[in-house]
Amino acid sequence: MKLLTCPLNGTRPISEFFYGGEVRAMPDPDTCTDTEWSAYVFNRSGVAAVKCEWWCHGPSGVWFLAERDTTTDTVLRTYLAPSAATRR
Amino acid sequence: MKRLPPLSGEWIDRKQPIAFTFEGQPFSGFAGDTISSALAANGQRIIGRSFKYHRPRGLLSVANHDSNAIMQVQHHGRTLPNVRADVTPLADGMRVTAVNTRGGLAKDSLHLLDRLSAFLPVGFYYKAFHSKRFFPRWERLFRNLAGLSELDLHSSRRRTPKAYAFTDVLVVGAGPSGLAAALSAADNGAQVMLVDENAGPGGSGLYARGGQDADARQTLQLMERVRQHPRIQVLCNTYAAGYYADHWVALITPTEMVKVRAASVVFAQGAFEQPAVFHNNDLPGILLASGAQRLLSRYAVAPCQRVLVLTANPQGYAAALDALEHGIEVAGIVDLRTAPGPASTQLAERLQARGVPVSTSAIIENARAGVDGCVRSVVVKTRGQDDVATAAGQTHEVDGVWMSVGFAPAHSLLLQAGARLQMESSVGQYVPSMLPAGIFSCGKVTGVYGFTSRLTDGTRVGEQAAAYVQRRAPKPRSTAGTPGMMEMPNHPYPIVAHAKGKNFIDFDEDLQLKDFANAVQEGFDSIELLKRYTTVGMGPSQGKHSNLNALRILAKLRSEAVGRVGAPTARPMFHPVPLSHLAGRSFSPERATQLAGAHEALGAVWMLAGQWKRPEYYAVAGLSRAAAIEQEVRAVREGAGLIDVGTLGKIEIHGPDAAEFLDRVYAGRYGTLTAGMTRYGLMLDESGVIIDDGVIARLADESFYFTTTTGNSASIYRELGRLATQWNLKVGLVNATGHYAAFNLAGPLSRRILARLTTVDLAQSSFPFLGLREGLVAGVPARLMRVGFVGELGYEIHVPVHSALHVWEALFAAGAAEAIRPFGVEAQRVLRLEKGHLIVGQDTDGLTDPLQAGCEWAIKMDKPFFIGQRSLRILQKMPKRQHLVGFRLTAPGTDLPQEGHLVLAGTEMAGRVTSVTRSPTLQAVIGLAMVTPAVATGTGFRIRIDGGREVDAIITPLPFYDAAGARQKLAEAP
Amino acid sequence: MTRRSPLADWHLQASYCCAGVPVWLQDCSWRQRFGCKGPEATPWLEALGFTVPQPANSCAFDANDILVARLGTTEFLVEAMSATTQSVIAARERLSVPGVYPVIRQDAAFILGGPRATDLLLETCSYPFASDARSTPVVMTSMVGAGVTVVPRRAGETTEFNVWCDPSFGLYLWSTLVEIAQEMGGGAIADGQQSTLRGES
Repeated sequence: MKLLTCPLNGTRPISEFFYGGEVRAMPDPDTCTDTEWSAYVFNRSGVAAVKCEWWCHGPSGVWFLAERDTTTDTVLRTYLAPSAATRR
Repeated sequence: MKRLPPLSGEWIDRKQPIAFTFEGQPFSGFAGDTISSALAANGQRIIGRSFKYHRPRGLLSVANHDSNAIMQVQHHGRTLPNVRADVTPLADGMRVTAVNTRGGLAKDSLHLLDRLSAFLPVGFYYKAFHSKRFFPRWERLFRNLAGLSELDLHSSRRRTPKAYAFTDVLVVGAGPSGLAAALSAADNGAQVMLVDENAGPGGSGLYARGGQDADARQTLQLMERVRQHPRIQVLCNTYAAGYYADHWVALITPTEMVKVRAASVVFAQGAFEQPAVFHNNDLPGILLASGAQRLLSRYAVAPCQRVLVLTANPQGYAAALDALEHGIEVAGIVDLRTAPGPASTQLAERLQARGVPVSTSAIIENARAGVDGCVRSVVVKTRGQDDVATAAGQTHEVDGVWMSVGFAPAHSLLLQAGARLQMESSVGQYVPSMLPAGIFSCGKVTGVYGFTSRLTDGTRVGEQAAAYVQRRAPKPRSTAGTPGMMEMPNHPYPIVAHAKGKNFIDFDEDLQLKDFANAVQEGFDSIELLKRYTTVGMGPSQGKHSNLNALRILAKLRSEAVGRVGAPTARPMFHPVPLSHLAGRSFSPERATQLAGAHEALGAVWMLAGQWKRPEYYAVAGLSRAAAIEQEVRAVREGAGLIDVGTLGKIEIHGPDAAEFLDRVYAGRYGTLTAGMTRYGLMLDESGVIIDDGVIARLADESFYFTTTTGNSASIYRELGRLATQWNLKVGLVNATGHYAAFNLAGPLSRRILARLTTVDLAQSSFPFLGLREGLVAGVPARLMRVGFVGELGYEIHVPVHSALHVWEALFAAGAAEAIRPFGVEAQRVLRLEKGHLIVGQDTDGLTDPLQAGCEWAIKMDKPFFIGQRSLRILQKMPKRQHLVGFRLTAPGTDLPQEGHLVLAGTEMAGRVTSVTRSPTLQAVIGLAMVTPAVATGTGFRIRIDGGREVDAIITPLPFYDAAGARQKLAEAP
Repeated sequence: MTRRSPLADWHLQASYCCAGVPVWLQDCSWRQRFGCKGPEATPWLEALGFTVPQPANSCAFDANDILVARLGTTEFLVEAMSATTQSVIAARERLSVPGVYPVIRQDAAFILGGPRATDLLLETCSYPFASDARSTPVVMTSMVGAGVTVVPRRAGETTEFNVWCDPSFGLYLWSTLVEIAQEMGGGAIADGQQSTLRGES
């Protein structure tokens, strides 16, 4: 079973984690068009690439980021989200 | 076939005899025997019937690389199906029978299928049995004919423990190279786990003697060093069933599954000896040379009296020498090769010196059976052009044929681990060309066959594995080559055609050479199609003795090199794994509030709500379920009822940004909520769909306490944690779901009852509807909230869970005079439906937005931002696709609609019922339905119920009961 | 008695085993404890005289056997492991200070001990406790499908494991582990026998 390293709790089997989706920037709801907003809500990137993803360590509730190459399913690094806020 | 006098190193203990039966006849063996070796020792040559043609079969690999030796065993009152006799230890009192026979092994009446084999070619079932009328009859026939063992449907449940294990280096296979690798890794400081599927280590280092014992003595020395090494743990009778991500390997022991996480893995699983293919090559008495050597050295069993050895490598010659060592006559060596290599020639000279004739460029054209069905003679011919035999041949009278024509590496776990293989022509087998990080392999599985070479290979690889684990470079090695170039062990095409067929490639599936030609002729000429059409490799041994020859045949039929034809995908399990090992103890987590015992005592009838057990209703003697629930509903409407709602999600949020956070997460406004008040909350997702609802209470300026639905508490708490991280707001979230108990005390008499127990002032002016107050209830710190879910005066009481039972009992005691009544989930659902309150996930689905559900009042679109807001702006401009309406049946009879029944407009579907119940309060059948806008603006609709009947409903404004909401705001009891 | 262990329903039908078994479990849900989190939690605890560990997921036991466990980075569990409970109770009462948020702790809590405790863990938990080289670790992981917090602690020759879990899972976790312990020749011990096991008076 695959291993994943939580930045705080260490390396654990993947069964201890929940996947939270790719990190995506939200368009400004006040200025974007309906089409841009719908694309954000319903579309996801299917490209095979190195993606930045949200992951949660279930038993501790820690949310962190992982850079994962989806072509090989290799996690390049995991780290806590930086304190700078994303949009809103 | 017979037992020999005691041999040094034999695995049997002659001081412990064992009695067992086979096919009803008494047999005997010793501790250390397998079922197969004991049968052989007793001279039982026929041990089973083949799958399709029911041909008599004997031992072939003696290693569970074929399924000739599958048995049904009765032992200690238990039925053990599909026992693999080659590897199952004999035990006292076992009653063993063959499988797949009708009328017993000796007189299997289905043997006639062998005569009908012309009508049963490969894939025959794809071309026949198309008549719809007769197919059920054929299906019954085949179901009775097919299958191996029989199940005992009355077997009791067995829970098998599993265990985790951790190690630095897992070495799979304890033959010479595996032993060397384990020692080398451990000597370099690594913790090593060494596993072997046999009852003891040593592998072919012990049984492949070739008339000498130098190799065996060296192997024993390695075994002793391994046994004493403090860093090596050895597990025998244990095989690796599969390789999973990040060096996670499932080990199967006789009693359990061990889930190993290794820092690195060394695969040293060796190779499967392959059969030669000729007419009648499946007669009992014809077996693999290594199988014969296992019988001789481990169990002191001679498989025959006079043997012919068919070979294409030195291993065959070595086996012939072992035969002579143990008093077996060797009628001759038949070497498929034109020019045997140097090692073979050396061994041939020793054999010829003892009178054994050796022929080269020779083949066995066919074997013949005696009256007992076992091999009696073989015809040897010279191999001519294009592998066609010359006309003249020589007949040898023998009762045994040993085949040693090549090996297929046991590389399925290597492939699962991501290794890439390529055909290496100098050994004639696939070897690893690329190994992923942390994966190593040595020995025969990588094409290294010489005994000394295997030791060197294992030593090198063990050190590499230790270096990998210790994150250092491996030690440099001298490039001195391995001593002596090992002769090629694999014949490229040990297959002889025959006009009468019955030259078997796959013994499990009864596949003959012409079956492959037929498949290719039909167009199934890629390896994946060929496999599926012929079923080669799909039997219990999963291609261990058949895949390689199948590839060779396909390559020849396509005129391509074997290396270009591809190979079937290797998947777990390596050997069959008992389902009990996979199931383990079957942990299934359950959640409970602290009141299970109390509910039981009150007569609760349980239901499962997700992971929770909840009282559906409380049984009353003499009352039906419906009547009991009706009484609970009346108690709440007219007196007082108490329900355990402890399964609700409960979350606290603290901090300067707490209100801001809630305003973004929920559709309503909470920044303006005053401390000591509560407000309904609707939670949407980004697309504007309702995902949850609850009640939000403000404890203080920077403190809120809010609830979620039972089923969503964990996932919502997790998502809120992500949002808090993403938005970087100054908040702290606490998941208090399991830590607070919650009860709803509801009914016009509830205030009077609660007043006796609480320090909180319950007067209407002090504690209005939707208020929250903190104080003591029965001496326990509590949060009280006046909520409107069931539509009566009532209090939701939240207390820490360690005090739950105390408060519950105190409430019952306090309400005894008012005949307080417990009520369950069903009654609560009736009560809330009478008030027209929706349940998220029941009255809403994955597409329901607040506009469709009639919840616009809960949304504050003028907030700066909340999740779902932008989508609602779009939805508000679009026509609604559906609308939630209340309805009541015009003439409620005995036929009740159910959730999911269709709403009809004319003959078209126009929606569905989402909730429905008989209402005792209103004496009517009421419900909610999600319907099209056209229906929603009309007066009524029809509902199609079970049996195609239809009932009429009229649309009714919500709530059905107490439209003014006066009951829940009650100042005084009536 | 207004407080009741989340495992009380099990105790109603309990058969306890004696000291000296290979693996035992003891219910400690009754201990006095509280939780807190927030930006000011560390200085607040220190000001009250608690010994606060610095690294994430670590713990400290002070001279009065008060445990302070840092869960993650800014959340704490404070528990009186022995008889001295006053400081814990007093601190819990004062838990409404800016920047310090109370975390209600009504856990099911127990100790798992005995020479074969690690074997029971190897059947139920995939965390490699034996190779955790930290001196005072706090491990948040999953055991037989329930989330747990585990603090191992040396006790003479063996290691005892303090385990906390959500009270709604407590009965399931406890009875599952006790059943496995019984198969190993052990089981649950009643309060008061543990000090005999450790050779104390």
